[in-house]
Amino acid sequence: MTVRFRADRGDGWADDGAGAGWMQDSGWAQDPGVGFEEFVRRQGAVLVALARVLLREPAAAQDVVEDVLAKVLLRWERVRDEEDPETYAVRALVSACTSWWRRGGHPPAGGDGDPPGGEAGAAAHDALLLEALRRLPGQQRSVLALMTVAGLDEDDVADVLEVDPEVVRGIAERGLAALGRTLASAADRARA
Amino acid sequence: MGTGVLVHGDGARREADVQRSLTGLGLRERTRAQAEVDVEGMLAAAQRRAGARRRTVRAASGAAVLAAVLAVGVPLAMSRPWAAPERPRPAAAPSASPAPEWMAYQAEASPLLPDSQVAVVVAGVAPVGPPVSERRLSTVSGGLCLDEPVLTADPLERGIRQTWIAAPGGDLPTDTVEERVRIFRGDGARQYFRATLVGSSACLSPPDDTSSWAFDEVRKYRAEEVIAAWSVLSPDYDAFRTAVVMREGAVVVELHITVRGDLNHALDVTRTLAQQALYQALATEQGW
Repeated sequence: MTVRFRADRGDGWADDGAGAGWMQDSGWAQDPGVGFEEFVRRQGAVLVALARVLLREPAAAQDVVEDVLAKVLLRWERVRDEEDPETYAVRALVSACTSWWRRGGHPPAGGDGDPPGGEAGAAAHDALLLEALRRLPGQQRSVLALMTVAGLDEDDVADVLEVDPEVVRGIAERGLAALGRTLASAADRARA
Repeated sequence: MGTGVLVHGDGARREADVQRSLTGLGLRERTRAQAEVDVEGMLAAAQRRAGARRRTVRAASGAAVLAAVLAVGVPLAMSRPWAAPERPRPAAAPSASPAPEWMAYQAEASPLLPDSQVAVVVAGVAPVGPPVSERRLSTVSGGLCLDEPVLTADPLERGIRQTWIAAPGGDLPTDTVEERVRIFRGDGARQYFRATLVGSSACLSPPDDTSSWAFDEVRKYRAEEVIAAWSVLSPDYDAFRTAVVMREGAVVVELHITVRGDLNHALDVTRTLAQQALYQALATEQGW
């Protein structure tokens, strides 16, 4: 199984038509005049979307993102000058979500990927997919969310998670395989 | 996409379907967030929280950390009051003195705890995949009860991490062990530990929806610097979370553990694994 990323998206990895690669060359370091407010305008929604997917309780997403943005603001000049603000913010968000999971501890109740109550369509499937995603081990969950919600490519995810790109690829492949098994099993049960 | 019908049989086709489903999900989540997020409100909240956090960090530094130490009745962290265990030396000449504790650990092995050793202490856990090596970056994520990016002036030299997890048992908390081993350049390990210590003030005032943490007695651990804490994860199931950060020279070992059972069991598990983890990391410091 080849995991395709934003940089080499092919027929298995549909272009979302919305410039999924939000971590564009935003030029923070080149343009010191671009401030924290502009950063929040550009990236706030993606951070919220990412937090919604990573956390079991989407209501907590706004709270976590505001906390992460506060951390970014406190270190803004250093982060802008020495790091990449998007990478730093996403790394802080993934860490915050990891902490949240540690405190909350365990996946949602319910069957292991049971399809939600006979509903049909994208919403039901998204709910099933989200539940299965949130049941993955933390690294797999983070890698797949970063690739799909934040639209990061393999190298960007590697930067965020402080690992090598080939490690990201391995984690993504294991995560996709696990999701595939869970969803196939749910579909079997739905048919039975 | 979004029909919920998945292809069976061939694993690769199934995973390609999952990829497409995830891509669609990501797009919908981004679109929804863009429509719903109040950027101005988020900005104002971030600025407000930054101000509060600045005050908290200021207060947590120096004397306030000491006050917290007194408040919890045990040292939060301390320098080692005992004789240092000898560091592993390559090709050391045979010695007549008793072998140091390091010698029980394999210098050629991984710096991480062996899977079998973890499974003996926390029954039923298995690694979620191969260990993950960290890259040399000026920012590393870590902490005691909260994970945060830490900027150190002296960067990470190398790092590796692993997670072991037990099979999920329905709605019950899952036993989990997470280990990180890091070696820093220069004074980076000390800087990192200091940041962890300051950040640990957050353990005493956690978010509303979580229980607060208590600090474990550091004399139960043997390292140059230690901070350890625990919290009740789930009173319904007698589940605890524990966390330990230990520094010895340039090496920092962190453990985050979720375990069911009573508190004494949770702390025994943590102290045992933490000590084994530090010894294993130090024994292999030169070899990975």
